[in-house]
Amino acid sequence: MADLALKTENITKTYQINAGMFRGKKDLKAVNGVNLSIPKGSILGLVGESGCGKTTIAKMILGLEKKTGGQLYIGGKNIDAMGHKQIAKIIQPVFQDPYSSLNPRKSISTIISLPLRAQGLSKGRADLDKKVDEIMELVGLPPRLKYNYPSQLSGGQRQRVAVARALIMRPEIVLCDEPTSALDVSVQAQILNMLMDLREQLNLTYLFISHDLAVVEHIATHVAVMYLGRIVEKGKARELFDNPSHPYTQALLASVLTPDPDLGLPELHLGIEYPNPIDPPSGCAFHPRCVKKQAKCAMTAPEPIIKSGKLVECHYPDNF
Amino acid sequence: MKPLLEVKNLNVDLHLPAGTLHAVRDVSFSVQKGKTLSLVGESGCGKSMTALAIMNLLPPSANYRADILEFEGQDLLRLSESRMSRFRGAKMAMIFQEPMTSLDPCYTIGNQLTETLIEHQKVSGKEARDRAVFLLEKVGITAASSRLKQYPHQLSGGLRQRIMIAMGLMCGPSLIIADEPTTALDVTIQAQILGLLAAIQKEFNMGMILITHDLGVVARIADDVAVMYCGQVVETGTVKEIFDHPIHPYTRGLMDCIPVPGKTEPGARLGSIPGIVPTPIGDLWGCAFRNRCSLFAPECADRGLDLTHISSTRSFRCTRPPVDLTVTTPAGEPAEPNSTGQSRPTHTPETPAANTGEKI
Repeated sequence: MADLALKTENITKTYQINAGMFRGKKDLKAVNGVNLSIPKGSILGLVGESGCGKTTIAKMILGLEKKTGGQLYIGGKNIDAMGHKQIAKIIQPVFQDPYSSLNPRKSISTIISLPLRAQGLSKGRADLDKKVDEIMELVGLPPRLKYNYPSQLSGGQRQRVAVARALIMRPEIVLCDEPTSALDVSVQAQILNMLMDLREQLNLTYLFISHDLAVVEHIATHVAVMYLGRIVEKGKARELFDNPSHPYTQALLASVLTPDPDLGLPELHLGIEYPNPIDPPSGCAFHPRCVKKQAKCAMTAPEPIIKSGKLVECHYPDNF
Repeated sequence: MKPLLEVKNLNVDLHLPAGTLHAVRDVSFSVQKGKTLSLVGESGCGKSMTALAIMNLLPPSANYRADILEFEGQDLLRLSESRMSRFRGAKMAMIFQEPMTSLDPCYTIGNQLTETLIEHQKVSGKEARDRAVFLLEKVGITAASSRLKQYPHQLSGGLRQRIMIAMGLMCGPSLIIADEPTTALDVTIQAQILGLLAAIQKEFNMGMILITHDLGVVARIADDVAVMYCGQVVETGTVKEIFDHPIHPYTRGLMDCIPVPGKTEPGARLGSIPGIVPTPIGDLWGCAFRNRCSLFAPECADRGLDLTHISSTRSFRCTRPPVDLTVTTPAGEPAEPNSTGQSRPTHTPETPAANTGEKI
């Protein structure tokens, strides 16, 4: 436990959705029994299609959404026993879109120092100024930008501001929700390099949510693949990418378009429809899109099994 | 063979309070029937402005000029707005990035699909609906006839983008311009949509301009590539030439920036291009990339820097190409550098290759 930065035990989030007039409520299981554990100093990549529940997990970990079941520990402590401010000291987020996640009417210095002021940790103006200067240097922001406004900054600079704001409290864990998908290719590389450097310097742990598998493969040490609120495969990054067991993981990996003109477009056999989470498929949730499905897949949901060092939820991982 | 679309020295200027922004500068390319040309570059490099200029859909604050802008032998520069609107949507169609915002939420899919056809070809409502159902089935939508009564909010992102493609095809265009068609979609859907575009393009023998920043997408479906930076084309070539032997430092930098599974060492530092893209405002000269380039030399700031052509497909805009060009020149091609005419000359420099003593 002590060496885990974050641990979830069977957490669930069920939303009550109006099914229609006079039809009462229906359950939408956005997250349905997820177990994750992130060792200190590692990077867990959480991947999956939009709507699979990645961001809901992030919100629960940040304490922005109340979980409806299970246990969640950060830094060894149960999140139920912690207030917002305590959670914020340990874990800080970096969001996807640096254009909407920074207040356009506040200066960069004000934005970066907000967590300190919110926690009541500021020891006067001079101290705040010094801390802001330090963190701006750490993330590679030139000091002249201190009193500028977000609209005067480029996308990459804004994302650096978001990282600086997350790091000024010196958290243990940084939760990056698609931190580079709104950025240009050359800027994405700068930000990824910076995140990796900072992890080494500050001994940070990252929960890295992304749908870009090439980026996740590059940066992550551990990977969890999510489908319809469940983790269908997880393990060490190397093992999972070299030898994917779940057919969904295989399809995701096949969909990565590497810049190789000799290869054509991949054939994924996934069909077009992502299932409706209000009305999930019976048995294994992936079976309607799976090319290797058998009769059993539609009837019973698979139990997680250990397969070459990874945890896989599939009835027939050996077939592949 | 005469190309389907020929663009020569296209310039787009935007008049801003801060000065004139040269969004597109001397861009030349041509698109053949049945071929895909990809315009690659980062945001602000002028790739979308190029497309909008071809469609004559630029905002009022912009004006454009070109030496040649010909589509199917028609000079688009001389067409009146009413003649142009007969081309637009009918002969050339555009697929935009955001299927969420480019469909009108107040009208049904059927309404929006049939509108262009009824407008352009004076067919009956029933004929238009039949064509819509036919195309929806072509783009892989099941229960097509019942979809016509649905509204955009009832459909997923992937379905909406399929509908955008079907809408583009309604009048049987000969040129399709796809502006980041898969950027807003999941990776699994992306491959399907691209496959669909490629298949349909082949079936109807259309020309396609694919605008994207994703080198993976370019590699998999383009025939020819033009890399754009800061409003200019900095390198052209067939897709194999560009990916196997990139010449321009910017192209090479871009390729180092993306992690490639199986090639890039996980956790290793990615190559990155320092600095940011300059804003092309005011009087511009020399290489636009020079302030970010590791190979910068004084002559990079010289006035006038043209594309150097090393074969019929291959050209680059650099005074100090960091590679041995003999490798990249296909056998049998005349390897004489010849500079194209430029529209904003001050003085023509000696052939760029001579500066570095590179053997071409």
